[in-house]
Amino acid sequence: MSKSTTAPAYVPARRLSISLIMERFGVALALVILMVVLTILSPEYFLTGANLSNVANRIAFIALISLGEFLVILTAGIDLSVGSIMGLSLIMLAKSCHLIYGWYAGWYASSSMAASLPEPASPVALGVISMLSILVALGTGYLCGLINGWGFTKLRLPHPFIMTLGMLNIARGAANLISGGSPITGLPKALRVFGAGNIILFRTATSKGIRIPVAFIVVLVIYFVLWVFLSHTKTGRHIYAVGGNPQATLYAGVNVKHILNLVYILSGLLAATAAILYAGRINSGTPKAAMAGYELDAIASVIIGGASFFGGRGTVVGTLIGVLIMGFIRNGLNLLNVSVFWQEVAIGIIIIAAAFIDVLRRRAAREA
Amino acid sequence: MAEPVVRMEKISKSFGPVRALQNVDLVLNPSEVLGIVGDNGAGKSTLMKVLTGVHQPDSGQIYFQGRRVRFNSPHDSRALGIEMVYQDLALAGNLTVAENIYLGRELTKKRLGGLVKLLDHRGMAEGATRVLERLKIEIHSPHFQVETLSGGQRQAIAVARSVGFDAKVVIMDEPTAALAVKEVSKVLDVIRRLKEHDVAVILISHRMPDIFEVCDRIVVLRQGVKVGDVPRSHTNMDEIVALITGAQKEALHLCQEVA
Repeated sequence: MSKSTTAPAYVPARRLSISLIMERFGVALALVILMVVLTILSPEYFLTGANLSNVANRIAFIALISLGEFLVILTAGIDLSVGSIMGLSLIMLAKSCHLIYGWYAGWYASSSMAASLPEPASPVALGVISMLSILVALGTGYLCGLINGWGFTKLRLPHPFIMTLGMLNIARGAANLISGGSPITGLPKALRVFGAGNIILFRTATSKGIRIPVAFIVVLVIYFVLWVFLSHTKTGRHIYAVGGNPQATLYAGVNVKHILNLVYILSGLLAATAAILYAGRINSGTPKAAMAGYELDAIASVIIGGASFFGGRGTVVGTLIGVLIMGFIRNGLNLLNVSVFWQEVAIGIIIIAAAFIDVLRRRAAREA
Repeated sequence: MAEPVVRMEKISKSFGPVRALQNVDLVLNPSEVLGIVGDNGAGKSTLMKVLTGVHQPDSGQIYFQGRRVRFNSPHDSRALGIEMVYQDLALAGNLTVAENIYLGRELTKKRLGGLVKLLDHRGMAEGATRVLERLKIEIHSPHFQVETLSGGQRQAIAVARSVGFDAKVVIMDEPTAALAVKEVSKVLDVIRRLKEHDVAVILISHRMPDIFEVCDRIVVLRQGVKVGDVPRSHTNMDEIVALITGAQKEALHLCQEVA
């Protein structure tokens, strides 16, 4: 067989440049530097198991809404409603939990066949009630995401900004209407385990062992699943393709509207999953969560993580690193007794710097 | 004479009062490179949109390999192996060469005992390499991101994408318009390679030198009417330009199929 002039397939030629290394590992490098600096500035506290698991616990729900935001930004869209969908799902979770418990307790007290069923306060009954209310929360997130997608693909609103801005307000209002504006407190243990549970490793008689928050493990598992989905499935690559060139993707026979609907639905579902973690952490459903502006933290994490606002660029791992950078900056500045107001200024500057790096990279790519 | 791959007969198409095409006949033979030229609005693009099923003709027939066909959408024409290469719209720059070539028809493998279907990255890289080698397109690796490549390489990959999957007819609309001189020859090389692999090519271009370099036959459209259909060997640039502008009413050496 004659060998053509084409070089063999697996030769990474000029691509292995410094700029490529910076593109791939720049964000990770920034995280490592940040951690080193914080370790030096706060040697007693920063790098302790207690502090790290505290940070992990605090950023878990942000990590999930950021992942949803990342999927949407990957298609060159934006989802302003992730924070308020989380808030609404949180209220639906707590409310449905209380309602189902109330119904079951009432029925149990009056029914003659109740004797053969678990008591309302028994672990089995509470477990089932928790599962049902989790389904209600996920259903809420799904529905909100579906409506967001339709606003863009069916109503053909000019930009997802508008539809999701509408959804932000609707979900905030609904969260307050359903909860009556005040927190719904007290949730069963089975429900709280995801947000508040810990797995303790290496406990011996002398040491307390390492505390790993369940929420952090949930986040890692979901991130891994999403990574497989984006890098190793057809639909995952189509999401990247839509972000790179929607027209080409359409011509290639891909149902682009289907892909767009899907990312908003996934974003809604991830926001609902974040609500489950949030509920566990604070043992209640509070409408304040819908109004805290978490969507802005999510957008910031995604951009710091190296995703491009123009779509098609960014990684799941980058997003996680972006979330960690945000979390460590807040935590580190707290440890150093820097005022919360300065923290906001610092994060603002980092967001602008991250976006500017993306601009520089695009310019460099065009001139190459 | 072998049966034509495509035969279009008396194609007419109007958009409101505008008669975009009037009784246009077109024949495309196997492994032929056919150039279509004409001024803006002469009907070149409309004719190709009729052939690919984007537009449906008001009257006239299309035959594919002797069989009468009716294309209601680009899907129908693609199913028979008619592929259009769009100038800038064909590729996603953020994806790799292999991913672009396989976009919309990715290879998958069952993993975890058939539980999940994951992408076969290796298979696609190998398949892409084979297609590129067949067309002698020089890309170092199918793992390069398309946006890091030159315009000519991108255009070549857009072609590879269309022929990688048994295209019989490739339509290229101004493939060299945005390219540097050095890059143009690469695209023309790819066109010649297609011919070698028994793919018929329709090339729409404003660049006369390109047309004369690769085409076997040239069709001239003017104001929706075919005014010339000549073998390259029997004409010259001056005559073609005169036909395009209307300075000359009819070609001197018509092709036998038309005459």
